[in-house]
Amino acid sequence: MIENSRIKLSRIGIIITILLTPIMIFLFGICLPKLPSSNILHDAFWADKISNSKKYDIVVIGDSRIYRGINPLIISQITASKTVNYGFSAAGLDSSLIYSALEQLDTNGKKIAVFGITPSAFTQEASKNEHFKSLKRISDKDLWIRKNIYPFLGGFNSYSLSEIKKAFNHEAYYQDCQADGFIYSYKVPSDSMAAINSYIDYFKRTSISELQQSNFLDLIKKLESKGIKCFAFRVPVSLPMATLESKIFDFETFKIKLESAGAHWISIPQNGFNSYDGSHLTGPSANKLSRILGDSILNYH
Amino acid sequence: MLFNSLPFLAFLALFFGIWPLVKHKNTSKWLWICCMSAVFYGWWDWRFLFLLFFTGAIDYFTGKFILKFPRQKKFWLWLSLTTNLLSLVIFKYSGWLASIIDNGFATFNIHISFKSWIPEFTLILPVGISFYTFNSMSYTIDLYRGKTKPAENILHFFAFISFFPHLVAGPIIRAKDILQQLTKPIQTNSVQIFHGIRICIWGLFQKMVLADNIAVLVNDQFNHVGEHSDSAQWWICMLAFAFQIYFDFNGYSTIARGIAKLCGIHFRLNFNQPYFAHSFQNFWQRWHISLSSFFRDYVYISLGGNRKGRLRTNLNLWITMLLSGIWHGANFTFVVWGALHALYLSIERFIIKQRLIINNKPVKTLFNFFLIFIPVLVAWTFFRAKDIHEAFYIIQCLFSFNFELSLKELLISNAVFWLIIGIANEYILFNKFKLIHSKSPIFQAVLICFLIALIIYFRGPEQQFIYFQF
Repeated sequence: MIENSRIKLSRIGIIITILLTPIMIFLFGICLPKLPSSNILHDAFWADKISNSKKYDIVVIGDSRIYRGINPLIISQITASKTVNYGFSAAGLDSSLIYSALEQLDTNGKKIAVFGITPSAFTQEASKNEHFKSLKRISDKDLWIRKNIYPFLGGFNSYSLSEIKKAFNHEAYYQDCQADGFIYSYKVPSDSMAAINSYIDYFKRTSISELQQSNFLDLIKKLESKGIKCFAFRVPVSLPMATLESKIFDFETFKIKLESAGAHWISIPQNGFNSYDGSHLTGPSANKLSRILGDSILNYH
Repeated sequence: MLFNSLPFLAFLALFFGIWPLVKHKNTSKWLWICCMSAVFYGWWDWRFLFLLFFTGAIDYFTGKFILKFPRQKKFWLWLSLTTNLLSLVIFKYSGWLASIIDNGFATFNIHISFKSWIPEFTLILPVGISFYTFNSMSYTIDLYRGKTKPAENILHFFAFISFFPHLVAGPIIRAKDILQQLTKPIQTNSVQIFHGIRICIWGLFQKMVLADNIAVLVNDQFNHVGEHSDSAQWWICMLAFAFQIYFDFNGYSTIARGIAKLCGIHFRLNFNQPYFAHSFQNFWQRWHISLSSFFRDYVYISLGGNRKGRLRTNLNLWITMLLSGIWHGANFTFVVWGALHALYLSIERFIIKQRLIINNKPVKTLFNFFLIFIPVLVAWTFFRAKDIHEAFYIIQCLFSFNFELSLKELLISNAVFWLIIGIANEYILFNKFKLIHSKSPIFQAVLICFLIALIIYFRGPEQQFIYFQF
């Protein structure tokens, strides 16, 4: 008798659980603030980027300033060439990253490689290419799940206290993962000095390597001899950041060395762009930079 | 395949989709368990399935020979033990042992690299090897001692060995507990199903919300050990780790119990609120119970236990704890961790147990905290540190009482918030108010739904279960 009533009560419990779970998830969903970007979609984006088997005419290579600063769609429209953004966080311009990027080039296409030059791309720390390599280590099964299942789960973001606090304070870091490797980003409120201190700390920990630079220049020579046209440019940043970077890296000398290696240097004016943290461009500025790059590539040809 | 992953959800749907059709006949039930467990294990690396089936087959047949040739049963037992321990040595300890030998030679200026001679394949640690070899060994030892009945056939045996809920991270189950359950007709009623769902969700909450969120603080601190010297920061970090590993491993064991319960099979409790322990001995009766009892029954008692005088008792204790430390990993840090616990237990036996009998409850609780919990916390330093030097640096920081930094930012961090919630859950909600055992099904259903929503919206960054590396 007691056992029967326990069975009955448990059955009620199971039914309530089944009915109430979607309601509870829905209630949480509407009560929690909307997040400016989805971490699940981010995972899907990076999985797509690291395992992209499509072929392109132009590949833009670099660090986070590239994947936040270059919109390949705009370059594609201007140059009428398929373009992909191959930027990764804290990336170093070493052979592992560059050869992997070049695999994206269509052997029958225009074969253009565009490099975003930043001082940090030649540091010992950046040469580890930790972000890029960690993505490369993801198993095929996990990549498949991230690419094919995660896009449907974008609404189920995980929240942290700081994110909720920021949302209630109307602070947000908008990161919209777009096609072909670009993240349209901006921050509210923006602070063009935000990255300066961490950048100074970064260069206390690590230094620019001459070897990395000469390896890069040798690689450019090789690529040019193989018929891959190389372009390079200095990624615009905020004025204080540009001043700081000019002190730690001689862009003029590097430009001359690059040109003598066969690459074409695209001069980008350092003013006229907005950065939300001093280091990364806002979405509209990224589009503007992409237009300048597209025009330069088109005019060169 | 992780319990907290999408593929596992699909796997579980497939398993339980077919389970009602196969659970009534032993052969089909065992075959289904074996096949699905092979998929579960092979999802990580199918190459190591051979090891699982090889050591399993040896144990099954040696078990048969133990019964068939009782005069030679000692030989068959040793064959089984040697095979299992050898596979552990090759796949878990060969790299470590080779580097010890290399370093030994290097001190005499002889530079030989034994490590480079080891085939690369054997340097990969097969997931769960320490767990399934122990499960398997318990079968032959129990058969030898006449404490269990033999498996009906090889399928029955492999269903016990490979049953996926316990396969890769325990709990270590005994043949005598499970073999019989697998032969009985399985009748799962609503009470068991509801209980199974409840503990699965509770385990997932412990792992995905509590452990994974707390892990952010611990990992960040341990990734930059040299940059942190503040004592308070390290005490918070070690407190966080103590609860991270508890929620992580207890979470896994709880999910495993829940899934087994849904299959109509009962696993024993693997954790029983260990941080409530009133002695070190009691701590080991509450922490990773399946492993502690394995070492107690098969090592400590086999060595003579406490029957051969004080000195021998302590020697047996040290051997058992050192083996338990090495079982966890091929690193001196685990040896020191085991040695520290052996030391605690020895001291407890000789001094504390005899002198401190306190009847006042609050004073007793305070004493327990300082005399049990703090030493356990210090021992965890060795468990988590990547080497001995790192562990000693942290211990130096802990006891330098150097409070330089403002802890405001740390204390309002997400990880600390979930740490407080976790501790409150453990000490107040589930201990004082027995929430998880509440009689009202409506309350329990609402609690499950609430926990599911928390898991979906407040899960931490996905981390592998800590005990997968063992």
